[in-house]
Amino acid sequence: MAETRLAPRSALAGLLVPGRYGRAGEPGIALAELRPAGVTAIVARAGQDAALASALGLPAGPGCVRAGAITFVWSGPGQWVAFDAGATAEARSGLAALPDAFATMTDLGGARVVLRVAGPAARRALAKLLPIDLHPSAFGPRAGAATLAAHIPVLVWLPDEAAGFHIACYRSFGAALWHAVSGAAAEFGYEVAP
Amino acid sequence: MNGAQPMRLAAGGAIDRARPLGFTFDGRAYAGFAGDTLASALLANGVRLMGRSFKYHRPRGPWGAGAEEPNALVELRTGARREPNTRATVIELFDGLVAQSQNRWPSLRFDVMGVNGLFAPIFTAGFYYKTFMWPASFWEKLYEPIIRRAAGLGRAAREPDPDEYDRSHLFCDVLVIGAGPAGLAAALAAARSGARVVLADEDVRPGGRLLAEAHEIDSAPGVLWAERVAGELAGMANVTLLARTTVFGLFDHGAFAALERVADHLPEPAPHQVRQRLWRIQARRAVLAAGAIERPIAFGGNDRPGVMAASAVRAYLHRWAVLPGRRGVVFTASDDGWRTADALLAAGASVEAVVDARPDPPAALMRAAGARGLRVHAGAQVVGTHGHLGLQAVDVRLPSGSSLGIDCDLLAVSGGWNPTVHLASHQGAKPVWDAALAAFVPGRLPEGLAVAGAAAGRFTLAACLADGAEAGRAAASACGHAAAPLVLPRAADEPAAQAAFFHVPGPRGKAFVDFQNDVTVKDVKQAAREGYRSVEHAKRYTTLGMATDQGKTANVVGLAILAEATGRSIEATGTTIFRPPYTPVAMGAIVGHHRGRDFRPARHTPMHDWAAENGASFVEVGPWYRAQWYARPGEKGWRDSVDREAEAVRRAVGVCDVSTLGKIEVVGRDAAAFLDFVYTSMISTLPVGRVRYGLMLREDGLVFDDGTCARMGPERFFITTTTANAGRVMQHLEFCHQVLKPAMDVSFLSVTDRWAQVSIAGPRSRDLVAMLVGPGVDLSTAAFPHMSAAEVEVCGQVPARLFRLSFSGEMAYELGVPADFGDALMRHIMQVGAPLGLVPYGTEALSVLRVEKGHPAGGELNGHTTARDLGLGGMMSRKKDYVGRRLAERPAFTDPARPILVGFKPVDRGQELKSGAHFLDPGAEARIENDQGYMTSVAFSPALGHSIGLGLLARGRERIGQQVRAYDPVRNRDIVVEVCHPVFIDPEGDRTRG
Repeated sequence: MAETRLAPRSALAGLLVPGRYGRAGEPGIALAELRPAGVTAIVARAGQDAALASALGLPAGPGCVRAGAITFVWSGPGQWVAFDAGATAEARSGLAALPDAFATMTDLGGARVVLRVAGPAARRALAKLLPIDLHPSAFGPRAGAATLAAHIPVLVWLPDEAAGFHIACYRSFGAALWHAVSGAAAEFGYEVAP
Repeated sequence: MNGAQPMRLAAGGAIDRARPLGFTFDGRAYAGFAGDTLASALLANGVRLMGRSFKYHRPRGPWGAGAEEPNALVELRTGARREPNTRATVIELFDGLVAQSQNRWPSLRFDVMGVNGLFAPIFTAGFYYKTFMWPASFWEKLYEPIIRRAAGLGRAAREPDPDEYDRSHLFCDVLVIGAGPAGLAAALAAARSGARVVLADEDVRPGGRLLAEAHEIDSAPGVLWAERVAGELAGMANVTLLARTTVFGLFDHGAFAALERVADHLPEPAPHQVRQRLWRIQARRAVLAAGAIERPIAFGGNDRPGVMAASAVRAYLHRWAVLPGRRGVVFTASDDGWRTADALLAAGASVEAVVDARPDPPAALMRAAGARGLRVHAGAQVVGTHGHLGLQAVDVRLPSGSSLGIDCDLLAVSGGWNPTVHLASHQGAKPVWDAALAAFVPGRLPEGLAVAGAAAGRFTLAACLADGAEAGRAAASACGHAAAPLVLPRAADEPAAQAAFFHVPGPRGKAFVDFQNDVTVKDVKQAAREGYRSVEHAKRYTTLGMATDQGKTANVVGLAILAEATGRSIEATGTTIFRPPYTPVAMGAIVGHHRGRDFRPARHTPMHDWAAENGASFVEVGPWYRAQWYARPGEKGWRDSVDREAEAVRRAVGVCDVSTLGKIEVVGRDAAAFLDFVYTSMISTLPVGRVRYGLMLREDGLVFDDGTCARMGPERFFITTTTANAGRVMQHLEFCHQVLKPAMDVSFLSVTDRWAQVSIAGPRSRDLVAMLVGPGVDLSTAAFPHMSAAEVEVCGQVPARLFRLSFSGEMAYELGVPADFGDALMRHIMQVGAPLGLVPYGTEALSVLRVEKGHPAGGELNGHTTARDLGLGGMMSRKKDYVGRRLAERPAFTDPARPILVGFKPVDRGQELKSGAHFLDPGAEARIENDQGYMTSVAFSPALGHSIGLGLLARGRERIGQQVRAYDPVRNRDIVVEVCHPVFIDPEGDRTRG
C-alpha cells in the first residue's frame, strides 16, 4: 500500500469563496481566514504571571504584542495565546525553551479559527457583534479583548490599523462566527481575497 | 389651495412640494409630499377619520402629531410586511405606501360593532372580571375568542418577516436623548469640549418642538437654528447623530437601549440594508431632553375626529402646512394653548372662540386676543361635542352656567404639558408632583443622568436652551472634558403657565381619559368606588394606561381623577411604574439575526462534512451537532440503521466521532492533588500512561459529571467530560481552584477543539488501530492494556493521542489527532477499515451499546442521583477528602431503600419499554405512595433481540429476578417487567479487556 499522507483541512473549508459580496460599490470591508502556522497556549505557573510577562514582553492585561511573526494575545489573568504566522525555527524554539517553572505551554494548533476583518467599515461591522468599545481611542493598536461575538467566545485583537482586526474562536464555532461576521459585513459590502 | 389636497396650505411647511408621493388608505388613492407623515397627508386630503376605538368602535381621528398618538393606529403595508397598530402620526410617507384602518367591519365609515357603544354599561371598568367569571371552562373556548374578535386592534402578518434586523453597540461620554432645543444645546456644549457625544432623536429631522412652532431664535425661524447646530454636530468626528432613533430604555450602569428605524420610511429595505437596528448605548453621562407631551382634557365627546391636541394643530400647520380644520375653537387650561389661535389665524382659518377653563387667564393674553378680535370665554368649559363621523359643533358651558353652542370642525385642546419623564423613572424612581408647575417632574435621578428642558419642567424656549447647554457642559466636564459655557442664542421666555385642570364636571356623553383603551372618567370613578384606590390596581381594573401608547396622554389625567375620587392629593396618589420600552419595539429588532438556525451558534466537529456526505442525521447536543445514525440506501427507518450499526460494533468494528466530549488539559505541580480533590476516586496514584474513570460530585453530594482522566506526564493530565457538561465542568474546576484551593499550582485549558477524536470499538478494533499507528506501537493487551494512554503518530506523520477505553463494552480505543486532520483521518479510517467490516456509528447506536453495558449516561446523571444510586459507591474513596464527600454521607443518601440502578426486561419480550415509566409492586395501586422508582433509559438490543431498560428501583439489587409493573399513565401503558443486572452483555468484562 502506498504511503498515505493525511492532509490538513480548515474548519472553514469551502465557506470562504473569493469575491465581492453584500452591498454593491466599493467594499467597506475585507475578510480573510488566517491560518496560523502554530497556536500555543501559555499559562503562567502559580505566582509567575509578572515574571513571565516581563520575560516575554507580554501584555499584563487585555491587549496584544507582536514579536516578529508571533503575536501574543492576552486571554485571561496569567494566560496568553501565541499565534504564529510563520516564525523562524529559532523564534519558535525560543518560545519552546521557556522554563517549566515559569509557564505551561499547550499546543492548540488547529483549535482556533482566526478571521481578519479590515477596511474602513471594520469597526462599524464589528460593533454589531462585540459588546466592547471599538473607538480608536479605546481600541487602538495593540488592543485586545476576550469577549463574546454573537454568543461565541472570542479573542479579538488589533496589532495595528493596517493589519486590521483579528478575531479568533474555538474551531467548532468557526462556521457560526464566519456566518455572523460576514452577515454583519454585508451591509457595507465586503471582499474575500483570493 | 392645492386641488388634490384640499386642506394643504399654499405655502410653508417642511415638506418637499417638488416630490409628490402617491399612497392608498383603505384602498383609496391619495397624494402627499415628501416630508409628510401618513397622518399629515391624510389630513391634507381632508381625511380625519382614521380608526375605530378598541372597545366601543367609536370613530377616531388623530389626537396628536407624534409618538404618543393613541387614536390613529393603522395596519401598514401588506402581506408578510403587514404591521398592525402603527401610528399614522409617525409613519413617514413613501411612494406606494399602503395602509388600512383596523378594528372595523365592514368599513371604517360604517362599522357594525359600533353597536358596542349601546351596550356601554356592560363594558365598564372590570367588565372582564365581572362578566366572564363563570363557568370557568367557558373562558378559553367561548368568551375569549368572542372578546378578541370584538375588542382588539390590528392583525399581525401571518408569514415570516422577510426583513433583517440587527443589533449594534455604541459607547460614548455623553448620550443626549432628544434633539429639540434643549438636546441640541446640550449636545453642542458637550461636543465642543471634545467629549464623545451621541445625539439620538426619534424624528427624522432635528429640532423637536421647533419644527412644530413659529418660535424664533436669534431673530430667525427656530428650525434654521436647529439645522445649523445639527450641521455643526454632523461635521464633528466626536459626534454620532442617530436620527429615527428612539432611546426606549434606561438600564443599570449607564446602559441604554435604542431602536433605529433604518428603513421603515422605505417601501422595503434596500438589498443588504436592515429594517431596524437595536442599539445598546453605554454612556458615562446622559442628558434626557425628551421634551413634553400635551395632555388632554376629559369632557363629553372629547374623542370625536376633529378634537385634537392644540400642540398637534400647530404642528400640522407649521411643519406640514396642513389645515386640520377651517373653523377652529381653542379649549385650553394653559397659556400655551392660546398660541394655537394665532397659528390658525395666520393660516387663514377662522377662530370661533378661545375657551379657557381658568377663570382669569393672563391679562397680556387677553389683551392680545382682544387686539385680534378673538372671542374669549374665560372660566368656561367645553362640555360636549356634536357630529357623526367628525366634529361639527361644541357645547360650551359659560361661567354663568348657561350653555353656548358653537359650530366648528376643529377643537384644539390644551390641558397643559406633561414632561416626558419616562426614562428617568425606568430604574424605579417615581416622578414628583410639582404643584406650581401643575406637572410631574423627574424625582431622584439614576446615576449619571441629568434631565434638561421641557422634560425637567422648563417649558419656555429660552429656559430650554440655557438648561440644555448647562446640562451638556456639566456632563462633558464630569467625563474630564472641560467645556467653555455655550454662548446662548437669543430666544423668548414665552408665557407658559398651566393649570391642573383635567376633566369637565357633568360632561355630556362619554368623557374619555384613555382614548386607546376607551377608559372614561366614569370608569375611573367607578374603580375608586369599588375600592381600587391604588393607582396600580385602578390601572389593571380599568385598563387605563395599557396598550401600545402606555398611557402617554392618559395616565396623568386618569390618576388626577382617581385622586379626586378618593379624596387624596395627586402627589399622594402617585404614578404607576414606568417600564421600558418607551414606545413599542418589534421582537424582531430585539432578536436581531439570532433567529431560526441562528438562534444560537452551532458547533461542528472536524468530521461534520464527512458525516453529512455519508448519510448522517444530526442531533443537537447543547450547541453541538452530532451524527445520530448513518442511513444506508434501503433502510426503512432509523431503527434499521441503528440496529445495523450496533450489531457491527459487537461483531466486527465501528468508528464513532467523539470529538464533542469535553476535553481539558490539567497541568501543574499540584495537578494530581487537585484532581484528588475534585474526583471521588484517587487520581494521584495513577501512573503516567494510564487512564482512570472518574466521577465528580456537586457540593451537595449528588453526581455532577463523569469521564476519564489520563495521565500524560507527571504534572499533566488529560480529562474528558460529557458533551453537555463540558462548560460547567470547566467552571467548576476554576471555582474549586480559585476559591477553594487558590494556593495550588494548577491550570486548566479547554482542548476540546484541539483534538478530533474517534472511538474505534469492536472485536477487530485492535487490527484497525494497528493499521493506523503502524507496527512500531505494541498494542498487545500486555503492552497496552485496557485503560492505557500513549502519544503516537498516525501514518507516521500526524501526532496523535491513543487511549484504550471502552464505553460499548467491546475492546475499544479512542484516537485523537489535531483537529485539522480529523476529516482526513476519518476518510483514511473508512478506507483501511473496510476490509474488516468497519461501519461508522452514531450517538443512537452508542446509546444502545451503553445501555446494553449498563453504563450511566444523561438519563441517570440527572442531578438526582448519588454515586451509590448508580452502583458506583465503590468509587468513593475513603482515604481522602473531595468535593461532595461530606454531604454524600447524608442519611437520606445512604438509605438502603433508595432507588438504585438495575436493568429491566419486558416479561413478554415482544413488548417495548419506555423511559419515564414508574415502577409499582405487582398488584399495588397506582398511587404516589406506592412509587418504587422509574425507568431512566431504554433501547432495543439487537444482540438480545428485545427491548431493555435501565432504571432506578427501590432496593433494586435485592430484587433481581423479581417482577414489577412499569406504569406509564402519560402514554397509557402498563406492563410487567423483570428486574435484572444492569449489565446485559458480557458482565464479566472479558470482551473489554481481551
